[in-house]
Amino acid sequence: MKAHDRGLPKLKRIDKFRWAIPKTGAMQTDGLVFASAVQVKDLETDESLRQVANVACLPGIVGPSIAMPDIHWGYGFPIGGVAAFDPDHGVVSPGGVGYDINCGVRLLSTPLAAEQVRPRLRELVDELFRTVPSGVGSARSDVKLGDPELDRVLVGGAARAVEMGYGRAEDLAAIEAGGRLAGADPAEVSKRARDRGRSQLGTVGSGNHFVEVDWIDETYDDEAASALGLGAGTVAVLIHTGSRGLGHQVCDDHLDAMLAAARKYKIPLPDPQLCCAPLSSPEARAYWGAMNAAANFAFANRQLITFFVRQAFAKIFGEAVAEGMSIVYDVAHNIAKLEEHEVEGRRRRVCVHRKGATRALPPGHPELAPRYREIGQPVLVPGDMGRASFVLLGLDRAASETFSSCCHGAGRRLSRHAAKKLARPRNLVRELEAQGILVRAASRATVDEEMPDAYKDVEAVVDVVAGAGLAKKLVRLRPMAVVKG
Amino acid sequence: MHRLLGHTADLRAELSAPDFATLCAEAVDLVREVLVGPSEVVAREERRVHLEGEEEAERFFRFVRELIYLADVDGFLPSTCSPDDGAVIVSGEPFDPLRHQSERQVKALTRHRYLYERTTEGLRAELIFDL
Repeated sequence: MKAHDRGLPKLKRIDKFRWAIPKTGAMQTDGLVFASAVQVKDLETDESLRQVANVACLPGIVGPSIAMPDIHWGYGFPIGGVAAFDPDHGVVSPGGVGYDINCGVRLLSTPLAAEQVRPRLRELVDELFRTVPSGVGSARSDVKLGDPELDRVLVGGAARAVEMGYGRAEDLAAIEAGGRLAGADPAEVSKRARDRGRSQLGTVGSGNHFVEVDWIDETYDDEAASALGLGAGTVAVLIHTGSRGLGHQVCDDHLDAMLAAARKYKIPLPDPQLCCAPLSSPEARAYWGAMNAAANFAFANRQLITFFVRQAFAKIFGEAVAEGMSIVYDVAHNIAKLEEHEVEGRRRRVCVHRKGATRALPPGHPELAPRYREIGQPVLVPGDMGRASFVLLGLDRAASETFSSCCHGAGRRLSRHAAKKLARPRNLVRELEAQGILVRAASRATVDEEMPDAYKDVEAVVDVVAGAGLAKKLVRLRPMAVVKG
Repeated sequence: MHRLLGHTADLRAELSAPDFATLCAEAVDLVREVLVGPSEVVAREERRVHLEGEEEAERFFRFVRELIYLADVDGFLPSTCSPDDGAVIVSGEPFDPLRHQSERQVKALTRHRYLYERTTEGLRAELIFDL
């Protein structure tokens, strides 16, 4: 019997924001779901809770199989899922990272107030659309990497992009891991993956990826917000994209190897997309080298996009404005990392998979750059293109309960198919423009499928993680202009 | 025949056909529609896709996956296809922004709930794409 043929797992309420999926059958551990009572009702209509339980069946899992309140039905792992594995007895799973390795979000602050930008917003969004390719066939003719340069990007990530002239040295201190993950092995990145990625550096892609101009509508901690350049009324830019075709191909290549590995190591799979290999195996080492290389490609991709976003602002508002644009933070939400965490009272090294979940380090964490050490790591939570996005700050509770992880977005509530049907009689671009939000997109299909109604209310999602003590709100952003694929 | 079904993460589709060659042709139509909607795609160039895998289900899965790869790596849009001695010849042309409406990029074909079965009418497959 396939997992999806069985009924949904039973949920047991722990408190206002926490629900347990008690261990049954092949589950090695409990599931832990962060959600409100209203959100839980929605989860009963899809397969995401079953997927939380399926992840709990994987060998060597440490702590519970965790779901954030933006959880929705993924393929294998749920989107919004977190799972940690013992380095000696556990596994790494490409499905637990996703096709878009190091899909993530970067936030830029600007020295501009919203009222300075509004009169020239149309020019700005047109320039952003022109300068950052998106949609089917998006590629850059001005950045095409030969193998030696691509290797340097795969190892050096955002740091290599800065060396190539795309940005400033100080940008790197505002990126998770300095924009470069150790352990990258370009030799494990196939020719097919290289061919997919070599002309896509500096492109945003399509689907839920975007470049968005926002304004800070509300601050919850004025001092910390100002320290990060996010004062009330100022304009900021959110960039959401990942490792593009290179990362997708790395995942595909290694899924095939992991399917064979799961058979070889006799790992029972409730879903083939959960295929995995023991962390100590040669298959896992190969994936690890390729995954980190793809993650570095993604950091470099967001670095190039930042360069072109600054160029667009310079063209419309002048060089001084572009000079004043700083990276607030850049964080991955599709990744597996070896990290040290406290588990049941002792420090342990574990391999944390975050599939649609954001790292959220608390204040004082040694991995944080000095500017964040007092306040905690910024957690970037984009919502939808009609309502809001949030910046949160990581708290100690996340460190003790979720391997320092938090939500990554609003989470879909409608399928693309359903959203498109709903949007068909409407003109969403015009509707959003009437609300003061300009949208430039390579296709109508993307706008329809990404309509605000397709997503959960991000405020309700953020209220759960804040209520549960995983993170606290720093600022709320409202969209002004969106560039989509 | 092919049709899209609901899935909150991405795109789910069902295909059916009397035989393997027709199922591949349905997959070509599906992938083209997902990428460029109703835009006309002309058979200007050919790509030979080798059918790899021990079982027919795996060969079909890898065929669809190759269509996605071709679209991403050199913008190749499929128009029609025909079987050819352990391979499928796919005809089509590169994406042309002046003639083709960009609909969506496809990251990958997932193995989640992949279904390939024989029915009384022939063959049926269910696919979930990551967008």
